[in-house]
Amino acid sequence: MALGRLHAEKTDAELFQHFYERAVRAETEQHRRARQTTLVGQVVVLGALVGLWWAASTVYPPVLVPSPPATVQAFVDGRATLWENTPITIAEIVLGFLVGSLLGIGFGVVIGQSRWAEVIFTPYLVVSQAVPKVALAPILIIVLGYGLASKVAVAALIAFFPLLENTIGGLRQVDPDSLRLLRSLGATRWQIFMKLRVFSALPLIFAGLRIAAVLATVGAIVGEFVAGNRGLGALLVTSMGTFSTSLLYATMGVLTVLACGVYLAAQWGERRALARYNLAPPEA
Amino acid sequence: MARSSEKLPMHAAPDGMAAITIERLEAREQRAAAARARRDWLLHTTARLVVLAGVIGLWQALASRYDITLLPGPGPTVAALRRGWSLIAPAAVDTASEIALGFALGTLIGLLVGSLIGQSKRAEEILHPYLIAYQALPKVGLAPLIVLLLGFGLLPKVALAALSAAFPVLENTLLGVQRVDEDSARLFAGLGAGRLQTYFKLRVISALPAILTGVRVAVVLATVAVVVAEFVAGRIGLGAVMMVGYAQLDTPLVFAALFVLTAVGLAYYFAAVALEALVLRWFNLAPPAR
Repeated sequence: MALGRLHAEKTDAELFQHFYERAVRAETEQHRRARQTTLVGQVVVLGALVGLWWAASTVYPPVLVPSPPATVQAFVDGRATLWENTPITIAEIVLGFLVGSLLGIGFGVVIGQSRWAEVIFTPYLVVSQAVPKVALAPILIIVLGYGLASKVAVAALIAFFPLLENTIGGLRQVDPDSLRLLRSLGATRWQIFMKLRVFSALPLIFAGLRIAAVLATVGAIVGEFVAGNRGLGALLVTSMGTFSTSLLYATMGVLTVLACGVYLAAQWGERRALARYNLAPPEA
Repeated sequence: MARSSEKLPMHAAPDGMAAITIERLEAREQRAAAARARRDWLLHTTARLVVLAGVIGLWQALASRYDITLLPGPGPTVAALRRGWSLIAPAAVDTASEIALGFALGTLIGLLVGSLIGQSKRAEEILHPYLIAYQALPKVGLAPLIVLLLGFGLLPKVALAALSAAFPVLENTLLGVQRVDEDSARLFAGLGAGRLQTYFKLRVISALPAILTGVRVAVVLATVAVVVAEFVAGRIGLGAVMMVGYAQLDTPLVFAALFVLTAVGLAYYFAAVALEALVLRWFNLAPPAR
């Protein structure tokens, strides 16, 4: 038998190594197979979705549901238009995200300095969660005009709140023991802020940044819906108005890719930032 | 073990003053605490009102410096609310019903789909990238597409609100039904509970705090989705009224509609918060840790 031969030829340590490696191999093989099944399932789902779309396109007129090839054709035909409008939307998202999150962190730090300010502003923060901030888009556009600034403002406005809230929350929830230690060592308020509060707030601030990036995308798109001039959102509304449905679908595809890109980039950024400072993500 | 039965050394009280007892001291302590709480509440409320007054004052001051088209003050806004009431009131009813319908539909979808996917780890793994894509996609971006498909009436707003509202409920249901106390699960299995019984009597109940948090988020998302759909379709609802005001540069009307919209959104939000508290108390559950 194989086992007998192995015994004859190998030491115990080698034997252990042999079985250990075999077990690891078996486990990796099992994992690989599970991953493969999952991947096959995912492809099947994708196929089913596209199939459903294709089937719908044969039932409904192309002005409602264009077929997948027609959509690809529209993407190819309209690539100049898409190429022109996509960077505008990206610029709005990036600028809105930067402005909104910087202001959010800034105000959060100021309000987080004083227990009083926090108590006073809390009900307003709660209310701000419930208010549909994108509804301010028409007003911001009247004030700031049809250009880039108004869309950046809409994006910044809704990116602002998660950071404000998370900064205040994060600065407050410090480990009381660390606080007591620093105090007993005679740390100044500034030192406690820089060396303790900032670091314990970072996970929540990073989470806020991730949320803000996604919200900035929403803000930019809604701003473009309302002002209807340039950008992917404007292109969506224009192609809706002119019944260029296949272009609408193609633009929606570009927007989906862009949004997923923003989401994944934000997630990646959060993970990298947490790893950089050796921090755990905030509990959900 | 009433404290009054204990014989405490009575200090001789001067004439006209009561003796010091534990009850008196405790009562005094309680009174002091209540007074402190009352004073704090009063102080905080006053400060909050002062902030509110400051904001309105700032608004008034800014409005008086700029053109009424750019920034109407509180006065013109209230006037616009009166003037446009015949337009705003039915629009508010439309918006409120769209939010309610879309929210209800989306929550139902989220609960059902979340429960179904939560049945199988494999299904969750397979659908994971699609769920991520669905989460990342700004649902309000679908507004033009849905308006094109469903027209300019009530339906597209309800559909978009349902699409937006479904996700947080779906996600929290999915996570919630899987995160179950292991001892309880073993107890259920040991007592021979069936899969369905375990699901409804253990998993759903223990997922309730998470689900209700999702529901609260869903209300806000439904409101946003309805407004954006009304912006795009521009026929019914407060969003449409805002677009009319925007197109005619009747900014006071935009402000008035915005305030009514805010009121509607707040009413729904606090209704959801109240519902959450009520259900959690009914099932004797703690709110999810934050």
